[in-house]
Amino acid sequence: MSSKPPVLEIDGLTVRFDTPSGTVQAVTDVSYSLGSGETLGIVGESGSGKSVHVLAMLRLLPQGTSRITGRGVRFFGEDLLRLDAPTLRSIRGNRICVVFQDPMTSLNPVLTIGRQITETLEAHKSIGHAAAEAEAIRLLDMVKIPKAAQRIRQFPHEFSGGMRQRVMIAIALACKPQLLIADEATTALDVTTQAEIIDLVQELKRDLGMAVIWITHDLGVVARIADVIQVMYGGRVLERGPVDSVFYDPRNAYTLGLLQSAPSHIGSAASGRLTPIPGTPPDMRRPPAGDPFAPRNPWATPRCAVEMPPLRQVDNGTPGHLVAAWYDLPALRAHPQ
Amino acid sequence: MTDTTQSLAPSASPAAPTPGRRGFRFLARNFGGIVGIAICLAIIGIAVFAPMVVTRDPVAIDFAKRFAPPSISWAGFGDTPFGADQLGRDIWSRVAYGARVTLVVSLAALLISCVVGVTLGLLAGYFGGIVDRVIMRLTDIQMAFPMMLLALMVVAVLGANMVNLTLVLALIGWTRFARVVRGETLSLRERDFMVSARAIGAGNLRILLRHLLPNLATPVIVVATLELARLVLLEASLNFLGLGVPPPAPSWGRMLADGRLYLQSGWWVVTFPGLAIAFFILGVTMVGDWMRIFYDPKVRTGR
Repeated sequence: MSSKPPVLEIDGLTVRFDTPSGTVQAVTDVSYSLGSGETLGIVGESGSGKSVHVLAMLRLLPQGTSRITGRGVRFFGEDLLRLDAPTLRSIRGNRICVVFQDPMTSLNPVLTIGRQITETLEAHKSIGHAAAEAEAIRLLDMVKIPKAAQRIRQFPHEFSGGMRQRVMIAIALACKPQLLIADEATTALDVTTQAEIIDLVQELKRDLGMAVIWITHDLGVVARIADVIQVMYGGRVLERGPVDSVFYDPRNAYTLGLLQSAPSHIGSAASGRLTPIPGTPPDMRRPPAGDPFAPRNPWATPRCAVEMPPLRQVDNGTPGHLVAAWYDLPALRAHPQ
Repeated sequence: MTDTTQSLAPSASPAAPTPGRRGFRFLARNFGGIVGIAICLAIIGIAVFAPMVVTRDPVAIDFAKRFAPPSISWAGFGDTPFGADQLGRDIWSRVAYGARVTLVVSLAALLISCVVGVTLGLLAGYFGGIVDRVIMRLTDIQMAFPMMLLALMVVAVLGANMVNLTLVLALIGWTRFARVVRGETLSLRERDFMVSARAIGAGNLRILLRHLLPNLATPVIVVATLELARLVLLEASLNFLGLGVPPPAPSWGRMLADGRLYLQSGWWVVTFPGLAIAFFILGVTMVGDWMRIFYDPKVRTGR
């Protein structure tokens, strides 16, 4: 995609959880890379492993019950999975920042907003308290919170949900990260606020030149902000490619299902009715041997159930458009049996 | 544009109730809280200003005044307001100075047990595993061990004085703090903002001190007030058994112990120190109860 060295290179990331009812295979063999200034949109339904793989690569999962394996998660060449704790801490919140889904619970209720922003600055930069406070005000201004100088003295409960999400973004951007991960950052917000936050992130991305991973299950958001889209299901990547290519020429049945179930003119049936995906996601305590989507896939071949297809370049499609499927979706759609 | 944003944005106007103001309003509707605070303030005032409020030297023996009855009346305090004991010492003065001993010992013990208990509870709850198991088994042992026996042993080995009395009380008091703080930490640890804190690169120490500790203030304050009442009673009991401050220094517990032999000759010798203990514990408990309710969101909702 670009000749510059990748910001992030994930190679074979696998996450398992030990639970009383067995081992849950949350993420299986996820690999991708992300260039600087690039926005990757990751979509998939609940339990597809999209949030977990982010927590896993930053080693934020509970240590006792999770097992993370992989050939490497290289951030500018440094393997996050093998870094010592102090070095990893110096990257978290400084060079890689995460904005979490729920702004109502992700802020510490007993610390002032200003304190929570200056804390990040003080942890990573050698900066005095007064300077950090001035910077906090500037950051709140930047995320368009009015009267920032007064509001830094207030507590999270004095802010609305959208405001808190802006605060979360201000905290995430405090150290000018090279990679911003928005984990369903706008899911809990109403559409107007969501649009404002997306515009804000786009604007800041242009100004700061950071790479963004935007995790969501809202295809409309992805269409608007992402360069590359990655579809995850059952802890695996099923399809990845430039947004236009994936939206107009989906090669995986699950991607098509997602597009058809989204209220959008792209890819939806001519009747204007939404088509739901039948069935439920697999029980990841007993992960399927083959393609995890096979049991819900009307086009599944016998091979799908027993062997996981590799992620490969699609035939006669856009370069960089990868799919994991044994079947040829465009051909099947053109000539239904 | 700016006008509308400003009018829409909630601002810290002077009319907005601050936590302090809200506490005051809540207090006004809580009679028990007012009474409790009044009792505590009165006793603290007497202790602090003891040299000014007493009528006589609390350790001065005066055989002429042996078992002098209480002289307090509507007309005034008199010479021995609460009467005099078997050695003619003024009971009012001894109760006032006894308040000093009780306050100093129980507050110091409270402080030590609070610091130790909160620290150990935090470590146990945050790190879990072997740390948790060791600390919690320590509290189990502590709680299963008869405290009077423990106090007797400590005093027998180290000797009876104010410092040892404080240490014994602290040794008995820390377990409640540890247990409450551990439980609270266990639940706080799972909250979203703890992951956020780690995601911004906070280390264990920063998370413990900056993110967990402030969240523990409420339960710790409540436990501390309720624990203070228990420590005051324990302090009196240990003094009663002669395991506390050595004579002739006045202490409520020792006054009870000495005076119970002379109930026939003068009821006032035991009554006034007894009342002092009862009132102080009542006051502290009422304050603790008010705080517990004040900080309980379920009771407070709607206001």
